Amino acid sequence: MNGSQFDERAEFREGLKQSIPFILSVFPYGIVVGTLGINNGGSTFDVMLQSTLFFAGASQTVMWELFGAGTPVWVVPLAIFAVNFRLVLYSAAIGRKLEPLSKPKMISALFLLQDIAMAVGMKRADSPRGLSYGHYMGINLVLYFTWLIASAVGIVFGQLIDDPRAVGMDMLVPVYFLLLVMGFRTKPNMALVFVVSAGIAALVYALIGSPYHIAAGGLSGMLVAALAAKPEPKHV
Amino acid sequence: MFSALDMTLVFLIVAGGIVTLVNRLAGHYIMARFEPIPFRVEAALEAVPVAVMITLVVPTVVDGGWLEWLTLFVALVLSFRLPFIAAVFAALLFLLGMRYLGF
Repeated sequence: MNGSQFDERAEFREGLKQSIPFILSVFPYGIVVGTLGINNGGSTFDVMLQSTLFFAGASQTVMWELFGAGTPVWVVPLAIFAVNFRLVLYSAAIGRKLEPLSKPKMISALFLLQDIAMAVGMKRADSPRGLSYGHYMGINLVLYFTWLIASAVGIVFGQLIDDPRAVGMDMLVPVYFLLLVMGFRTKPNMALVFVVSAGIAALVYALIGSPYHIAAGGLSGMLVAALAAKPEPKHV
Repeated sequence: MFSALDMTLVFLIVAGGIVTLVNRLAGHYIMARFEPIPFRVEAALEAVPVAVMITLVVPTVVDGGWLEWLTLFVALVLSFRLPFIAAVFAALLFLLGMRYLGF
């Protein structure tokens, strides 16, 4: 964390290397979002601007669906906030793992924050070497540029993935997140968090609908983790 | 194809981008005001990856049929054996194979 310039570069290179498998999942998702934008009335400029500023697939998808359906304009930013609410929780969890960091570095890191950044970063933070800015930026800059390139590919070859179901795109996200979650199975109380969070999310999803199940499930899981926690022994 | 910029759309995209950045900054900068944080809050933050990411799987479980459930189960089993991304793609290949066979 407070390493020399040399360590920072080695960390950055390791981040680059670790990003490779994730490119495989970010790329097809980016293509789908790019295509969706073009098909819902966005120009090339609009879609690229969106991918540059958002770098958040679920909210980009929601924005195009609402825009395409002619939803009142003021509803759209609210919907985007709701869909991206999980980023608030991610930010709270990972920001302190990146500290101490200068303000520009912290803001650049948080600008790139998304699910993979959080999952890989939190995992790294649990390892003996801890999370570093170099490692984090190595992974997430690659994913950011992958996202931009994939969006452009989706715009140009609009019909490249014309039935997302036929190539399994509908199951990419759930399989992906289930396995990211499994990576944390050895942490204390995670089975309890898993069950409570999934249960509440299912209930809210069935009764109220998306995207409220994310906040409801996420916050319930965090609450039960807080209640189940034991104080750190003083002598450590 | 060149069309005039749709200013409403550009406005929406910029507004959405700002909202998303606020989401990304808010969590950390709110928490930073409460240092040092109590152990229960710490435990809640450590639970974020599992508590939040599992909710993204829930819609598929609620809306899906047996093939979707089976695919998730296959992925789960494979995750004990294979590296992360290999397990993801093996599960998706299983799904595509089943769909190709007409299930």
